[in-house]
Amino acid sequence: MADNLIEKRVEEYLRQAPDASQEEIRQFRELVEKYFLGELDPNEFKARRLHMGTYGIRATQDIHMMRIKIPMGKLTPEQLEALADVAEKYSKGVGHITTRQAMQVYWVPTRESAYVMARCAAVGLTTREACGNSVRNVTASPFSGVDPAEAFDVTAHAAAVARFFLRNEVSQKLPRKFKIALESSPDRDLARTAIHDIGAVAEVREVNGKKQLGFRVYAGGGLGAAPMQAILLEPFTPVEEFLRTCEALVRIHDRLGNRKSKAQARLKFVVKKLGEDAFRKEVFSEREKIRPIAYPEMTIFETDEKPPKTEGIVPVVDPGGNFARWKVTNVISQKQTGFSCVAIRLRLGDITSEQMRGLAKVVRKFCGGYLRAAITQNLVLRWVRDEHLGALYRALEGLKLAEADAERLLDVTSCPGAETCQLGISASRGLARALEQKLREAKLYGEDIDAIRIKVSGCPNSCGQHHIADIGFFGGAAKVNGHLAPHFNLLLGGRTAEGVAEFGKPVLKLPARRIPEAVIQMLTLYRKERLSEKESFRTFNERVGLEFWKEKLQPFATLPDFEQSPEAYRDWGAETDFSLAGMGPGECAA
Amino acid sequence: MRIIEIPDNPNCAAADLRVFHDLAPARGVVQVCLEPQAGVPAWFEVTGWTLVGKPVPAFAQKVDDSGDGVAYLLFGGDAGLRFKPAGSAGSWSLQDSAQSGEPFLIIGDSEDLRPRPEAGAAEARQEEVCDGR
Repeated sequence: MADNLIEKRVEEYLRQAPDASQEEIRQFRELVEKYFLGELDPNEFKARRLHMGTYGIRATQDIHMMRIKIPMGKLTPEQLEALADVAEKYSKGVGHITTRQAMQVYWVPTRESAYVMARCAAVGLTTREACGNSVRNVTASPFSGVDPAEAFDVTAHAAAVARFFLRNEVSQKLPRKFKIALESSPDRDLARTAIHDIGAVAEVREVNGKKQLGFRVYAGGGLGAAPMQAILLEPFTPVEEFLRTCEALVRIHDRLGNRKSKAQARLKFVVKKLGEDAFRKEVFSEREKIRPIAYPEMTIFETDEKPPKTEGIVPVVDPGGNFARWKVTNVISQKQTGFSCVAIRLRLGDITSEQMRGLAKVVRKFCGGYLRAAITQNLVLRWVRDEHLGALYRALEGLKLAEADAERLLDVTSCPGAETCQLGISASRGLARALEQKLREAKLYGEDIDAIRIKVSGCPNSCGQHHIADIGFFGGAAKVNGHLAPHFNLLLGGRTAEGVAEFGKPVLKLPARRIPEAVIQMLTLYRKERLSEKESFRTFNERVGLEFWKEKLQPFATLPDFEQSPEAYRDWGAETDFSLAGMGPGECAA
Repeated sequence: MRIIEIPDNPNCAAADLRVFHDLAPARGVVQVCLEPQAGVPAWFEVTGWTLVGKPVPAFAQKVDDSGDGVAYLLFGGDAGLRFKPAGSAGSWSLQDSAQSGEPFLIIGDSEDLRPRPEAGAAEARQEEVCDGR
């Protein structure tokens, strides 16, 4: 497409965008021009483009990954179609759902990044503050509003938080990024609140016979190379106090976050340095200085989503295929009788433009347009009438989106890793693909092991959330027989629950190519040596201890001679020898 | 590219393998401004530290940063970096409780680094910080 045509399109989309987006995207285009004319320092441009959600890509110049925020993961069909457009135009026709409910598209030239911004802005999405040192995408349980176990629907409350911090001067130049998650169901904690800078869990109290909405607020959690569990800031923060509590926490991060040492700049280090009590005191004192902040949705208790009017859907009782299994693993009853949520399993978070467009039609037809992205890199359809599940399965099958085993053992989570991220050391996506394939070939799945979750990151920064998996891997490298080979460090025993983040304990470092064999051995041993089917993988690990696994997995830490098997020293999916060349600024912490 | 991997040692905790995209040659550094208490900056002398317990030069190198775009990687020997309050008289020692160690640091502002006068723009040799990968 000619440059002037792109410019024309940008203008068309900008006319449909909110005023604030129009202005900042026009300003960004001017920055791009100044950058190419040599009138803007490249480092200054880099900081500005990061703030607008525009990263570098491994071994490229002026080509970008762009991250589009999807607050609460809430997507309309129109937004999905816009994402399909930008993915088709730039990203080889594939969009990638991240572990923080955002979407990433790749291979966007600097000069055309404004096109992506404008196309997204026209449907109410933004890349602004998706990267950089700001309040990132606000996440929430994808089942909020329809979850039978929830205290109340946090969606509108999370939307208010996202709206409040976007372009808010308090969050434009923080010491480091800041992540907020809201959870509607204390028992489930699907939002993983204990690993966020702010984690808010819905709670309802009865005061003078009236329902009072509020949150248990946790603060100072985070993963990365130094993972920390959030502390309980306050057992009940009424909704009237919620936004200013969030603002107080952001202000504390801004004021006391370590601006000298970037690796110690997250809010979790402020908690560590001050101590829990002093930290709370600072936050509450800061809160007193802030005016009360009301938001229109403060009183929302139940979802404002309406049961969809569906027409022309012919029920299909037995659509065949893998329907029975899919119904067990991917369908969850809503609290609204007669309706279900359906998880769409996206391998490694990837979805093609064609699938996005097809799915937009399905969402309109079956669910009244209600769709969420999940932090498990899947999508969740809401408000599907139970009698339409068979027909929906058939429609999804036509889009190749009816894969079973969502949120199960075979549904391995992975960050982008060395395929595109400049911080990636080894190919996490390649390993995740290999793991699923090899486990499937070995027929290692089933009710007794399905709950075991595997998560993979390509470097110690925990974008793949390896710390909180039953079986977690993060990328590294080591020399074996005098040759450098990609490796992954194995962690065991991670998990989260409300207020709890137990981080996986390191076991040993394994060559990338031997990991599927090692995991097969682990699952086989677990099945063979557990006391009974009732002994969970977690309990089994606690009983046998890490030394057991170190001994059992040591044989997988070796490689044959390089001359005999050079491919064993290559990364998954690589056709050339492994090297650490071509790295740089990463997509760190999606 | 700068590679850092520090094993667990008496000076500091281990750091898993990290890679940094360098934007300029490394320069010798003798002091760095840190925040020993939240929001309270102070200058520290810095040296690299080795697994055999000897000080070696510390270096700072401009690198890409996913938050600010640019930052300065402060690195030292195969056992990381060692710090002591600026102006303190004691020599470098693991026994001195006023001193502390870190595997590496990422500094946001070049103003917080004081270069080693004699080092000038001398480039750090790769073998001082990694195993030759």
